[in-house]
Amino acid sequence: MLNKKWFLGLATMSALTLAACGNGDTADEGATDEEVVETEDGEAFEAPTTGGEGVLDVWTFTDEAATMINDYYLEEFPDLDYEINISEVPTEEFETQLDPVFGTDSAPDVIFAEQAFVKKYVESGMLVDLSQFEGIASGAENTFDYVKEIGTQEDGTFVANSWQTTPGAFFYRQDLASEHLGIESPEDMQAAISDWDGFLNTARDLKEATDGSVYMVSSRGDLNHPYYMSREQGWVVDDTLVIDDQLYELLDTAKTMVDEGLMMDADPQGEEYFAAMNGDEVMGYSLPTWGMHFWLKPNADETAGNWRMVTGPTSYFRGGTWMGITQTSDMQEEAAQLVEWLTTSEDFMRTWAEETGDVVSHEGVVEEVRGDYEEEFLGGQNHYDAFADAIPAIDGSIITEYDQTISGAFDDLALTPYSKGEVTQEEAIEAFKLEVQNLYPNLQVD
Amino acid sequence: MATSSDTTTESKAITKRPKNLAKRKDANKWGYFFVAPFFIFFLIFNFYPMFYTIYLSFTDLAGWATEANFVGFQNFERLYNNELFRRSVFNTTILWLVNFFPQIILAFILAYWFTNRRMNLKATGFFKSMFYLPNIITAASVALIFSSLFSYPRGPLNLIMMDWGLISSPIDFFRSVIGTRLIVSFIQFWMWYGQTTIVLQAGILGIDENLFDAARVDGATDWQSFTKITMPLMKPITLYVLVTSLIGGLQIFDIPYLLTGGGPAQSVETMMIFIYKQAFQGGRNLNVASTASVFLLIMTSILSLFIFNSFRDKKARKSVKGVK
Repeated sequence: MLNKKWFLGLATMSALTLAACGNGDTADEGATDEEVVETEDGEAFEAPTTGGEGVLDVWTFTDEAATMINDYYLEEFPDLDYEINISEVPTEEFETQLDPVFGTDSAPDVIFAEQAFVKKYVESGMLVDLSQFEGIASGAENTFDYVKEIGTQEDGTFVANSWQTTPGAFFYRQDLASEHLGIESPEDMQAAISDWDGFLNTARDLKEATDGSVYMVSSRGDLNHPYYMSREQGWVVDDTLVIDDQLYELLDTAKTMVDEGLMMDADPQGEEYFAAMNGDEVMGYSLPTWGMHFWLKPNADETAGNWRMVTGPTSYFRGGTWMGITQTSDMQEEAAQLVEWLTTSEDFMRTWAEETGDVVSHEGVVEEVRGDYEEEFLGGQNHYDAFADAIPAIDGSIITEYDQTISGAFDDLALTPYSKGEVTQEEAIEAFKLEVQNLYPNLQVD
Repeated sequence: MATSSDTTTESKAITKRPKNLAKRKDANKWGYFFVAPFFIFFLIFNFYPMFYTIYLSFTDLAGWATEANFVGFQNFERLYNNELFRRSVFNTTILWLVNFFPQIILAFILAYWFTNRRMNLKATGFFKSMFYLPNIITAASVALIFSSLFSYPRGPLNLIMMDWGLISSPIDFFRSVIGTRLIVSFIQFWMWYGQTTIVLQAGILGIDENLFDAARVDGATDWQSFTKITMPLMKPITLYVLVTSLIGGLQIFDIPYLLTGGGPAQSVETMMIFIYKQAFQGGRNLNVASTASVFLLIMTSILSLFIFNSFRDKKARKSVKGVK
């Protein structure tokens, strides 16, 4: 009878212990229990899982992954003898979920990573060399160089590849341009704003013509991405923080635009930022390929058809998603097959480009399909062609593993307060440097 | 089911062992067994992490590194010279002071009114629950409510103030250092004054009524009995409120982080936000985060001890136990 008491006590205790452990350590036994966690904004999502033996685990932050795998990959290969377990984690939680397990046995087999943080994983040295897989190595010869460059470690090991390219453009309202500026075509618009001086002058003309009721751009978010990508050096070179001249110019341009009332000064991706897409207050937005599909189109239903796109003062790119395979994966061959097909298969690329309008990373496919588009949203303009033109100018070498954090610190501590006139330029740069030094104590700042 | 098995155990035990004494002695060990879960949890989730943190503060563990190398007091030295950390200590102090003093004064007044027999307020229960209510809402929701309330340029508060002609153009509260600090302090104040009121009220109710009656007979005014009887006898409970609030205040994280992430210009970047950012952002400097945590622990202990000591001199009262 003593045993019964022991048993009861043990059962209670183990139940309590298990409840507290969550799914942290149980991953390898195949934890597929759905645990719900919350993001900072209180949005609930399912904790990512790993499926154990014989399951290919894919962790992603974009819902495109599930579409590509379920609707395309599994259609193409219906007879796989393993299961693919896709865990979708919101972007802002992705790193906090992945970092603690990355490099351990609990890590997923395939990870998706966004431009802002892809380099962190690329440079971690914990992704496998993709060139060892025949299919990927030969397939990637058709991939645009900058895509491969970003997926390559400093020592030259190619560890991540992407199915897309994400050149950016300046989207503007043709109706407002003809009404207030007398600009009748995208070519004329491009001529007017081909450099930042022209951009500012056009903005001033616009203000004069409309008595300040129409702004050239919505926010500093329309300036910083083009400027970041036109830097000559990335944020960090030889473990030293580099503040490129372009960044000082960005500070000045943003301040000028706020001071002179040329910019609406909404918060990037805030309520007013999106609301103005449907109004007549803002002339244009700097957005990349996906920005047009996911941000502009859904928020501009009343102004659809009036938009046009041009390169703008500088060619740039923003965002993009890369895929890599972890070294701890026990299904590297299977993972490689998935990465190969999604990032290099010509057939898939063509279908994907045709069905979604995404600008893909396969040079041949882009050349082949670029002529066939007519975007009604842009009044019949061929956006694919225009984006394709911008790809060769993209420089992937300025992307570093520090980008997300350092760009974020620059936006918060230098660009925003300085453009609003809250601090002097020196104070802004000092605050920015202090933050960077704290986030990365091993970097040489100054 | 448990009861039936227990009775059988008992009857068997009795037949086997005639002496009741032995059995009673045997039962004592179950006490250890039932407190074991707590200690196991404590050891795994409190004791071990605490010492592991202290260990990490003497190492260089950061980023993807999996092995920690011992570096002596280097982290402490760097932390001491770290301007941002100093700023975060300053921010934390400011936020706590600005929230605590109004809070304890208002809580004292409310507790006094609620317990005053002459005023004999109606529906005190209702008001008490109303005042306590903000404490029940989760910090995330509170932060969300306040960020939309104060949002710029078309937040409700800006609209109302413009409507009433108080301001001519909307104010961007979260771009102002003072504004953001005040809002954070106010939220802390608003969330906790109900709790403090209830604790203080319990303290006042714990004071022997006879003292007040005797004072009244001697002709003391309300104010006199408050300052001469209530206040001195409330010292222990005030000490309790002060220390718990201080510990909570030093660890303030959720509200400022959710409101602005520490901005603008790092004005509400508290020690906990500093620690969080060090541990999970940028270079993920676990060593620096651990060092700052250890510093926070030391700081909390020293301040608490200091407060305890400064109160003890004026003789510790028995009512501490009675009230708590």
